[in-house]
Amino acid sequence: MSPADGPHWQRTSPLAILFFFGGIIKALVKNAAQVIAPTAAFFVAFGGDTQTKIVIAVSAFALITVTVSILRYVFFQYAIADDAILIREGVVNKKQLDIKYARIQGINTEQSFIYRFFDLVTVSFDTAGSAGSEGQVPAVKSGLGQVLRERIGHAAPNGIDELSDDGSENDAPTGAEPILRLDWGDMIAIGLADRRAFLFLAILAPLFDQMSERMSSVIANAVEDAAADLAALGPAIAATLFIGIVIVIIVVLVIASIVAAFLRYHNFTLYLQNDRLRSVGGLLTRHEANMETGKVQLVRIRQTLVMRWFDRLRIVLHQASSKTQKADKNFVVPAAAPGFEAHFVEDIFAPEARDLDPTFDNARLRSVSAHYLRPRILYFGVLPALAATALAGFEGGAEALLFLLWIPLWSLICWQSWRRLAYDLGSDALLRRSGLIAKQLDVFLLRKAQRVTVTQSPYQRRKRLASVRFFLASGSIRLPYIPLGDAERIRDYVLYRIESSERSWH
Amino acid sequence: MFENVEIPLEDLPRAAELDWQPLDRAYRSRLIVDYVITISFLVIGLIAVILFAPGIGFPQIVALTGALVVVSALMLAWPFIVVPRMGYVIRDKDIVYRSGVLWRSVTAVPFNRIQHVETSSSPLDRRFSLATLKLFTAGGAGGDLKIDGLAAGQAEQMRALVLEKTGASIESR
Repeated sequence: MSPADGPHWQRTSPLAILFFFGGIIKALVKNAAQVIAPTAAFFVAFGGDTQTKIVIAVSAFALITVTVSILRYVFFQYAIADDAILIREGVVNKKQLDIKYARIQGINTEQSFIYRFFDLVTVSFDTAGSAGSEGQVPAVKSGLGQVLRERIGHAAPNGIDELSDDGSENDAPTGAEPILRLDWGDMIAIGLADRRAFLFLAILAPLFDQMSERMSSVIANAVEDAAADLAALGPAIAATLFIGIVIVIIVVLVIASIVAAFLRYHNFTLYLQNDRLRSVGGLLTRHEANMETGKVQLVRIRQTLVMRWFDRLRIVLHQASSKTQKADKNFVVPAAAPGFEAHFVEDIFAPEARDLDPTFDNARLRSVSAHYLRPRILYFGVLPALAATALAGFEGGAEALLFLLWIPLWSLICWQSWRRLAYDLGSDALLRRSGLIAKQLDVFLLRKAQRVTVTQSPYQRRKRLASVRFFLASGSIRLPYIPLGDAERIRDYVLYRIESSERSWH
Repeated sequence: MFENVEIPLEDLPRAAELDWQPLDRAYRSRLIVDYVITISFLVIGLIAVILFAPGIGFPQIVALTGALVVVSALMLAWPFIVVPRMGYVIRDKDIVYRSGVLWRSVTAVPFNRIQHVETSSSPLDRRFSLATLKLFTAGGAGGDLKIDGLAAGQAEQMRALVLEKTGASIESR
């Protein structure tokens, strides 16, 4: 294909219809409110019995969605040009996307259960500075992702070897040894550490409270009816039942989140070759994520309490993102044994940041000034507690004094976060540890910073302290309450590293 | 051959010892006009409350008026306090901006990280021949560097200079 020939337009496999169908269903679910109105109108407007109406509605719905899916498939074309991937799509509103290889940050592929039998994948592109994932090519041979990756990576010497087209061995580029492989034990750790399950539980708790109350009263009544002399057992049974239901719900949630971990990360395997990271994993739908190490803006290593019990930690590589972008463009290593992170970070940043020790117990970590505590405890601890006590005190009652308990509790929280806060400035990178219950370590290359701000509050000025904030393309990192001289030196050094860097930050 | 000569920290250019360029004098007047407009709205609001609020007594009126007087006085005094504390410096490789009276901040934006530059001016700005210069860097966190109260010609010059510098830094990359 030479540029003179123009792009060679291709269709995807007809199975892409499934992808478009799924897309329509997803869009409908998202806009459920808008869908309800016409459906209701239909049911009111037409006569006839309910059964007929349902049959008509369902078949009309199926006909429309399937037709739209097929049309979308027919009108969907893509072409691989020398410098860009071109996508033409749209039935009524036609559009053509030109995604320049230079702008692509990563190519991710997803292989659903059905696609797996046909060796097909959906390829999606992450581009810098766009909202959401803009380009997706559904149902193409799994080799295409590889081909595109090579095109993008042509700047890197000796790209990954041509993929063998038998489709069976596309888990690993030839010769690449995985640097990490997760087993079922890790899935359990990932599932248990997933905060979403417990958040869900917290939301449900009040509802559940009422439900169990009613349930237990019903059952207590039944028991009373059955054997009047056992009525005395009522409260005990109710309590047992309550605890029983709580346990059942927790177990269900835990199992659900472990299942979710299996679905997303089963057989998770991580490769690092030619400055490119690749992860493959998933039980039914197989997800493949890719990221060039040069695109990493920030490495976040996190260990929650649950992860600590399992002796694991989670690593997330952040890439450049704008406000409107979702966080799911980040590259996630959901679990790794402590010790892995040090080599991993070293490999990602190589050949820079050789002198870095990205571990929670790095001996070079310097803590921030203890003055960090005073304004926090005063403004968010002492003052609100006193105000609440005073207000409640007007109403009378010594219970108002209970508010004062907030002060020691909050002070303890502040003290713990202060103890965690520490930083280490290496010659190429900065490391910041933080966290309250979970431990977190943020690492970034100094030259990747976008701008630096030094701020001083009146209190900091009195104590000759300052806070430095580094703005990265993926968010910002703050070092609070460090000596003013250090803050200025760090700022000047980071500026020097940015301004003297010949390498691109993205 | 790759070289990486160590530079002693003391030899690095210090952003703390800078010759700060003040903002345009007209910016102070502009801010005062801004606040006068706000204050007049507050006065109208107060009059409306006094006239129409049911059961408002003399003590409340005195208290509200007193509060308005204090707030207005503070607002009118503010530009005289805040404007002298703001300033910028254009260096060879970056632009540094300081602001804040109680919470003081100094922000440095290296030219080789600037994505694009924008100048803008509101009708009120134009009345005072002022303009705002905005420097955009990658990443959404915390907004971008915005320098208010520049003389219109100055803002235009700075925009051109920044563009030239960023262009140069892109070429050398």
